[in-house]
Amino acid sequence: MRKRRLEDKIIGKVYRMETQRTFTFITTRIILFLVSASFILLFLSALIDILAEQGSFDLFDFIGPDFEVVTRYLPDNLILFWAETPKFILFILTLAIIGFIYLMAKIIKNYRMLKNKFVSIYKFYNKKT
Amino acid sequence: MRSLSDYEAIKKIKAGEIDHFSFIVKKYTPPIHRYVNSKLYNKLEVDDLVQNCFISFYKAIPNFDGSRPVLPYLYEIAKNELKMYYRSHKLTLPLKEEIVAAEAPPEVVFDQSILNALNAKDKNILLALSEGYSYEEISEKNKIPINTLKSKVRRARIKLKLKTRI
Repeated sequence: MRKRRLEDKIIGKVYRMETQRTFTFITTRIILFLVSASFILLFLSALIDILAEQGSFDLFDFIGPDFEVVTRYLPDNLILFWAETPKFILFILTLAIIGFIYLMAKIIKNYRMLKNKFVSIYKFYNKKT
Repeated sequence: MRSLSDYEAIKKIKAGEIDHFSFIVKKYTPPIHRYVNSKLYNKLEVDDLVQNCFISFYKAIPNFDGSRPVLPYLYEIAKNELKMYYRSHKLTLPLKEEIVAAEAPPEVVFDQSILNALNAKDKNILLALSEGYSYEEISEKNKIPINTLKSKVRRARIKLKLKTRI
C-alpha cells in the first residue's frame, strides 16, 4: 500500500513537471511565432512601400510576352533593382524569415511528440478528476 | 495486455507518451527503494530520495540510450542522490557550553616590560605598528627604507618571541 502511494506520488510529480514544461514550451513558441510573423509583416510592408515610392517596380515593366526582350534587359534591371533596395530592412526581413522557418520546422518536427504529451496529460488529469 | 519491454517503454516516452513512465516506475521502485533504504540512516527521507531518483531519470530520458539496461542507470542515479544527500546533511556534533567555557584559552595580558628588551627605535616602530600605522607611514616618519623597516620589525618580533619563551 505504501509502495503504491510512493509510485503514485512519483508519477504525479512527473506529470506536474511535464505539464509545466510542455506549457512553457508551447507559450514560448507561440510568442516567438507571433513576434517573427509581425516582424515579417512590418518589414515586408515597409520594404514594399519604399520600393513603390522609389518606383523600383517600374524596372520590371518590360516583362511581357516577348522572351528576347526579357532575356536582354533582365540581368541589368535586376542589378539596378538590387542597388535600389534598402539593405538594412532586407537584412532584418531575411533574419525574421529564417527565424520563422526554423520555428515552423521545430514545431512540425515536435508535433507528434507534443500531441502525445497533450493526450497523456489530459488522460492523467481526467482520470484524477 | 502485452507487457512492454524497457526499450519499447523508453521509446514511447521519448515520443511523448509519458503515461508509459508509470511502467518504469512500477517496475523499478521496489529495488531502488530497497537500495536507498539500506544506505540511508534517516528512514523518513527514503521516499523523497527515491522520488528524486525517478525524476532525475525522467529528465535524462531524452539522452538515454534505450538499448542499455535501465536498472544500473537508476542505481547510479540513486548513488549520486545519496552522495548529494550526505554532502548536504553532514553530521555535526554540537559542543556543550560548559566544555567550551572550560577549554577557553586564558586571557593574554601583555607585559609591557618585555618591550624593554628592544632598543628605543625598534620599540617605537612596534608600538606604531600596533597603533595601526602602515609600513609606508612609519618608514616615512623614521626616514628609513621600507625593506629595512620590514627587516627591523621581523628581527624585533623574533627577539620578543625569544624573550617571552624565557
